[in-house]
Amino acid sequence: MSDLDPRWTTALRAHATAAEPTPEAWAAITERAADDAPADPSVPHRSGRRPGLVAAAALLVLLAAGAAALAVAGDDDPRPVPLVEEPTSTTTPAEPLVEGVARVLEDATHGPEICADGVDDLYRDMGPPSCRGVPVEGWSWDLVEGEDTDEGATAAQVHLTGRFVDDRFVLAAARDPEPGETGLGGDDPLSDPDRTTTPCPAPPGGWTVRDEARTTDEHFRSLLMTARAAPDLGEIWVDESVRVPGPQGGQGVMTASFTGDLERHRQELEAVYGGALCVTEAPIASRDLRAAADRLMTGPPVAPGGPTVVSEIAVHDLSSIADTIGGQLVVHVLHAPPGLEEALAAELGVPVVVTSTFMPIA
Amino acid sequence: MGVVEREAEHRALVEDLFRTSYAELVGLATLVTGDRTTGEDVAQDAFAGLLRRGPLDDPDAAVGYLRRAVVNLSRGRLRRRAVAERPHRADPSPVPAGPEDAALAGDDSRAVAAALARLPLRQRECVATCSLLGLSHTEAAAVLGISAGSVKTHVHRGTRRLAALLADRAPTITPEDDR
Repeated sequence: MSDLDPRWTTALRAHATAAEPTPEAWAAITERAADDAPADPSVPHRSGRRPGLVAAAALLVLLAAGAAALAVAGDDDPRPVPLVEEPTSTTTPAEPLVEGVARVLEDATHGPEICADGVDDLYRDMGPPSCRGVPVEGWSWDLVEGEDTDEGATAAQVHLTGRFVDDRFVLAAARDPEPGETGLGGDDPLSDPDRTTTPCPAPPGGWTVRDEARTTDEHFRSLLMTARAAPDLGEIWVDESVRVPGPQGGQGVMTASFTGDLERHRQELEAVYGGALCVTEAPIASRDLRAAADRLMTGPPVAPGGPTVVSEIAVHDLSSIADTIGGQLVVHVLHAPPGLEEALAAELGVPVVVTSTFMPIA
Repeated sequence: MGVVEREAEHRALVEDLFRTSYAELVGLATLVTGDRTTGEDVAQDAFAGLLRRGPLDDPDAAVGYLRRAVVNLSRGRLRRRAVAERPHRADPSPVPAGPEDAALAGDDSRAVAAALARLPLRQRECVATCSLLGLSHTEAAAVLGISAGSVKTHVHRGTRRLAALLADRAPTITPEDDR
């Protein structure tokens, strides 16, 4: 690092080191290694770790949040300076100016395009990166510094400002993303810290373990199996924001939602499990949500009465998550035209929330 | 060698690597993610992953495995819609040699950390891997999954940008200072 004063190299190492390999750290490592949490993010488990999609007392972490705390006030204006004159002859005035962070890739087979096929292949071990998507009009690799070039493919995460016009993205400005800027615009319902809070009020005297003898791992598995055998199951999850005193250092409140006879389900579950339990109404059965997700992924729908065409550009980078706790399908697209949420809900017959990479600039 | 013996040998290998490499791997993750707590979390996940994985065909590849795991896990933390799964702890400051050194070292450390956080991710990764771990461009390329040429370019751009960001800070420590 010949361009950097040795003092800063020393400070860099000082900042990063001083982490001691303590017995406590090793104990944490072996505990994690022994964690046999299943891969299904909706499965609650006993170790105290939270499933990937389930949040409790958590925030949407824009890492590096730590870097943001350390950042000194600088002269750089984070807003991009327009670098490309917006063409006036081909833009449609109704097309809104949008911004977002996405990957731009150019290789021997095509010019610069916003990756829209959902393939995160820049970090693959084998082969050059590749993707297809929306051509960017007005692009230059001189606009950014964070690009990689491997085997003839050049790619970078970029903060883009521009307009989606017909089948292309007309660029107005581009810059390297600030630390913590991700490819998700707007609010993500899956990151709501209260999402897994049990909806049942605490009983008089607070949550307690009803029968400690029936809180073993075997009883816990029976609870899951019984709940999941029900065709009207919404979801079963654990609210760990409430600590119920008990064995193994305490536990959270197991919460199960159904669309059918709640009292019957309560009796069935209480018969197999003695821990704190909440049985509540589900907005929709999980199997119906997952069926809707499957129908969505077979192709973009055209909703009668809604937008005449759901833009292929908008839904090109389509992915969906069945939010079985919230009872809704969370659909992520590159760019959402007005009315997309309503059109999808009408077509699929389930509640839909749309999140998008690109958001209109206020 | 039986399965039990191989597992025991693997665990001993990982524990030995923990003693010798934990600090630098926490450091790498801290520099990439910008947060010490996250850095420790990432490093511990990497070691746990290696333990769970079981014996490697080439035990000498374990260090490289850990470095790549740390980089991938750090990237995942930065790019995913992450959910904090473990309680945050207070970010411990580097252990100082003395009160005055603590103040001066803290200023420099904070300044370089703030500047590093303003680099694009790939530049940050390359600077962290080459400066902290002392890896060559080729070695860093293997850890980061990019070409050596890209590493060289990113290190050059990253250090140039760091130098520019830190250029206006007056020297607070010089080798001639009495402590």
